[in-house]
Amino acid sequence: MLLTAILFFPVLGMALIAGIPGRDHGAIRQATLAVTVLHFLVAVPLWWLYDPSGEPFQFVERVTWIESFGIEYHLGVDGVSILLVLLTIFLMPLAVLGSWRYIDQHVKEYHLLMLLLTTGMLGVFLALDLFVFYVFWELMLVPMALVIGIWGGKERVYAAVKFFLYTFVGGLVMLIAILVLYFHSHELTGEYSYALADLMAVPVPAGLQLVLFLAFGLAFAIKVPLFPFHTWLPDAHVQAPTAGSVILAAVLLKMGTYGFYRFAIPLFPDAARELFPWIGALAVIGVLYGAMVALVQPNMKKLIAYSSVSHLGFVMLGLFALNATGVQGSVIQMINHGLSTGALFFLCGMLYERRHTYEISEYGGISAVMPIFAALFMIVTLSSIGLPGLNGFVGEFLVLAGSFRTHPWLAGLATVGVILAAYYMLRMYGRVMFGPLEREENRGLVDVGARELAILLPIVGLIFWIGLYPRPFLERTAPSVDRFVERVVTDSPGVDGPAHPDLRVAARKAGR
Amino acid sequence: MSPYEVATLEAVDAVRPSLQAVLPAFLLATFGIIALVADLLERGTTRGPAEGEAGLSSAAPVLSLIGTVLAIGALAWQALRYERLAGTWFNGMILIDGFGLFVAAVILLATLLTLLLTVGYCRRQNIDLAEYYHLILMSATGMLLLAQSTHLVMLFIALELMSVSVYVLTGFRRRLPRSVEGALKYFVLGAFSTGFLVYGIALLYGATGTLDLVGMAAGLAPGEVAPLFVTGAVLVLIGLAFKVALVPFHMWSPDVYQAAPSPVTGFMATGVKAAGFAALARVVASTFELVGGRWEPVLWILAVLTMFVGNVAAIRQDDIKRMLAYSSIAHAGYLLVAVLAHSGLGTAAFLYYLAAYTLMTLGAFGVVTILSERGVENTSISHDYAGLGHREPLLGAAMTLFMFSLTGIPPTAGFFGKFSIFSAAVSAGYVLLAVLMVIASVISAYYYLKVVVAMYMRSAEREPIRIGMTALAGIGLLIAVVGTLGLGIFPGGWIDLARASADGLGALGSLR
Repeated sequence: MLLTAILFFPVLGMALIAGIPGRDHGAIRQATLAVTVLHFLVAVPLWWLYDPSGEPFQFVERVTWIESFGIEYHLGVDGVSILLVLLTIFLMPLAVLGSWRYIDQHVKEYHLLMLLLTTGMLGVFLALDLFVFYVFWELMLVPMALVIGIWGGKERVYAAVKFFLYTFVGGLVMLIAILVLYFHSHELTGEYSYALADLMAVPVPAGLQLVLFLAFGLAFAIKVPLFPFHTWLPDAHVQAPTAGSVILAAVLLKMGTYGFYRFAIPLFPDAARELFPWIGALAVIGVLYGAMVALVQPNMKKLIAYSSVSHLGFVMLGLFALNATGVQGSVIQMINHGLSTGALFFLCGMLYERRHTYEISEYGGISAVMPIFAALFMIVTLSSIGLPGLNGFVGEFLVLAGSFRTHPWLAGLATVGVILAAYYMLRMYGRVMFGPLEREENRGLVDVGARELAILLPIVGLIFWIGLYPRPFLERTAPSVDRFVERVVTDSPGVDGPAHPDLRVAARKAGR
Repeated sequence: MSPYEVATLEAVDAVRPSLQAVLPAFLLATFGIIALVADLLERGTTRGPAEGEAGLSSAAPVLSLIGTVLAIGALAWQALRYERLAGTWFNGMILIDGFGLFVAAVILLATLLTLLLTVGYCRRQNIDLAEYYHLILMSATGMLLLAQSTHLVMLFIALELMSVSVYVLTGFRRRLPRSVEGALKYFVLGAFSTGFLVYGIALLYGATGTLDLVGMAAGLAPGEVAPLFVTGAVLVLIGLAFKVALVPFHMWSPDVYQAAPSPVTGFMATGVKAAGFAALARVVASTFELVGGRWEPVLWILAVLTMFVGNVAAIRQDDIKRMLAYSSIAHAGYLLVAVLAHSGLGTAAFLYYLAAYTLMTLGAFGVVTILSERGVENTSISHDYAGLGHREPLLGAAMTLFMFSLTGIPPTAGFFGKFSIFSAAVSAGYVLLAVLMVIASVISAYYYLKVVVAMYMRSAEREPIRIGMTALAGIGLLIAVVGTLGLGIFPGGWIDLARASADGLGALGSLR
C-alpha cells in the first residue's frame, strides 16, 4: 500500500486545492507547498525501508485491473527507480517554491496540474506492468504540455504542441510494440499478461527483438533526448516556466533513460547488444553536438538546455556500456543531472525574476551585488562540470571508466565533451558573474532571499553528499544494476548464437 | 367464448413475446406520437393556431425524456430476460442478441444525452417545437430496429425511418439558408445511397433466395463465390457506407453536420453512426466467408482512406462542428479497423469503442450546444473558444477531457477504446493497419489540441459568451464526463460486457 499511497497522494492534494477559491493565490501556494512537503515525508522512509540485498523488486503491489486482458495494477521499486522516485518527490516542493512569484496568473490551475504531473511521473517509475507504464507515460504528457503552453514564454504554444506531438508519436509506436510482444508471449505461453517479469521470460527471436527494440527505443530516445530526436527539447525548455524547465530536465528526461534501463534493454537484450555501436555513436554525437551548440548560445536557458542534451548523452553511453561500472555511473548521473541542471534552471529563473531576460550579455559583474547567489551558482556550475568532490564527478567518472572498457574510442571522444562542458559553463559563469558591473539596472539587484535559499540549499546539500560520500547511493543501486547487467550479457533463452564475446569478457572484468 | 375470440387471444399470445422483443422501440415510438398529440391539444387550448410559429412546447420535452428513460428501463429488462428473449421474433424480422442489445444501449444513451442537451438550445434557437422531439424519438426508433435486425427488408425500413427523420431535423432551423441547403443535400445524397442499398438487397435476394442475412449461406452452394452475390453485397456495403460516412462516401457529412442544429449533429455523429455501423458489421460478419476473402482488401483500403482523409481534412477546420464532422469520419475509420479484425476481440473492441465514442463525442457537442447564444451558434475555434478555459473553468475542463479522450490519452474511455482496437488489429495480424492508425491518431492529436490551445493558451478577443447552461444540459454533460472517465479508469467490466455481447454476432463467435 505504501507505493499506492505515494503514487496517489498528489491526487488527494488536488482535491484539497480544488476546494480553495481561485482568487486566494497565497492559500493555494501554501496548501500546495504543504501537500508536496507532506508527500516527501510520506515517501522518504522508502530510503531506509528499501533493502538492497533483498528481493529485486520491493514493496510490490499486484492487483488485477482488467481481467480479460490480463492487465494488472502492478507496482514495485528497485534500487534505481527508488532514487528517481525520491528525486521527483524531493524536487516538487522546490518547484512550488520556485513558482511562488513567477506564476501569477491562473494560479490554481497551475498547482493542480503540477500535482497531477507528479502522479504521472511517479507512475512511470513505479509501474511494473507495461500497460500501467504506458498509461502513466501518456498521462504525464498532458499536464506538462499544458504547463508549457499556458505559463510559458512567447513561443509557448509552438513549444507545447511540438513537445506533445513528439512524445505522443513515440508513445503510440511503443504501444503497438507492447501489443506485438504481448500477443507473441500469448502464443508461446498461452497466458495473457503485460507484467514485465512475464514478458522478460519469453524468448523473442532476434529479428523481432530488433524491430521491437527500435519501437520502444524511439519512444525513449525522443524523451532522453538522443540526437537527432532532441529538437523539441530546446524549445520546450526555453519556453517553459522555471519550475516546468526544472521538472522537464530533472525528471522527464530521466524517463527516457529509465525506459531503456527498465524495459527496452532487459526485454530485448540481444537487440540492445547488437545496436550498441549505433546508439553509443548517437550518444557521443549528442555529447559533442550538445556541447558545441551550448558553446555559442547567447541565451542562458538555451545554453543549459543544450548542456542537457550533452549530459544525457553521457547517461546513454554509460547505460549502453552494459557493464556494472558504466550502468552504475549512468544511474548516478541521472540523479546528478536532475540536481545540478534543476538547480541551474532555478538559478536562471531567479535572475529572470529580477531582470526579465535570459541574455547573457545583459548581465556582468553580478557577483558584486549578489555574493551569496554567486557562491551557490559557482557550486552548481562546478557540479555540472564534474569537479571532483561534487556529485557530477562520481557519475561521469564511472560512465567513462565503464564505457572505456568496452568502447575506448567512444569514451575517448566523450571525454572531449567534459572539457567542452567546463569551457561553456565557466565562460557563461564568468560573463554573468564577473567583470565590471556595467549596466545601470544590474546595480540594484538584491541577493537571494529566504525562499530562494530554501530552494537552493537542499540541492546544494545533496550535491555535496553525493560528491563526498556516494556510497549509500551506490549501495542501493548496485544489486539492481548487477541484475540488469547479468540479464543483458547472458543470452536470452531459446535464441541461438552467443553474446558478443568481448562484451561478456568486459562485463566479467567490470563486475564486482 | 366464440371461436373468433379464441383465435384473437391466441394471436395475442403468439405476438406477445415478439412485442417484448421490440419493447424499447415500441415505447419510443409511442411516446413520440404522444408528444406530438399532447402538443396539439395544448396548443389548441392555450394558444391560437396562428401563433404556432413560435409555439413553445412544454409537454414534448418532458414526454420524450420519459419515453427514453422508460425505453432504457425496458432494455435493461430485456437484458435481464436475455435467456428467454434471445432469438428471432416477428417471423425473423427482429433479432435479439447480445450485439444488438449493446448497440441499442448505446443508441438510447445517445438519445438521452441529445434530449438533455437539446432543451435549452431549442429555446434559444426558437425551434422548440414538439415535432423536433417527435422526430428525434422516431429516428431513435429506427436506429433500434436497425441495430436489431438481420432481415434485409426490416433493415431497409428501419434505415429509412431513421434517415427521413434526420433529414427533417437537419433542416429544422428553416430560416437559415445553410440549414435548408444542408438538409436538401443530405436528402438527395441519402436517397441516392438508398438506391444502392435497395439494388444490393435485390441482388442478394436474387442470388440466394432469402432476405435473411444469417440464412444466406444456405442459398449458395458451399464454397461457391457467386458474382451476383458479391455485387449485391458490395452495393449494400456502399449504401451503408454512405450512412456512416466512410471515405469516399463522406462528402455530404461536413456540410450537413455544420448545417444541422448542434444537438442534432451530435445525435447524427453518434446515434446514426452507431446504428449504421451495427448494420454494416452484421452485413460484413454474415457475408465475410461468402464473398471469398474480398472484404479484407476492400475494408482495409476503406479504413485507411477514412482515417487519413478524415484526420487530414480536420486539421484545416476552424468551425468546431466541421472539425468534429471530420473527426467523426476518422473515428468511423477506427471502428472499421475493429470490424475488419473480424474476431470476438474485434467485435468487443467495436462495441466498447462505440460506447466510448458516443460519450465523448456527445460530450463535445454538449459543450458546443451550451456555447450557442440566441440565434448564433458560436462555432469558431480561434474566435469563440479563445480563453474559454479560464473564463468557464468547469466547461473548459470538460471540453479538455473530451478532446483528450478523442485523441486517445489515458485514463479516458477514448484511450482504452483505441487500445482495444489496436489489440484486436494486432492479434488478427493487421500490424501495419495498427501502425497506420497510430499515425492517423497522431495527426488527430494536432487538431484536438488546437481546441485546448485556443481555450487555455489564447486570450479572448470577443465579448464573453453568455453560457446557456441549463440543469438538464448540466446533467447530460455530467453523464458524459463521468462516463468518459469511468469507462477509461475501470474498463474491465465494460469490456467484459462487450465481449459477452460480441458472442452474439452471428458467425463471429470464436475468440482469436
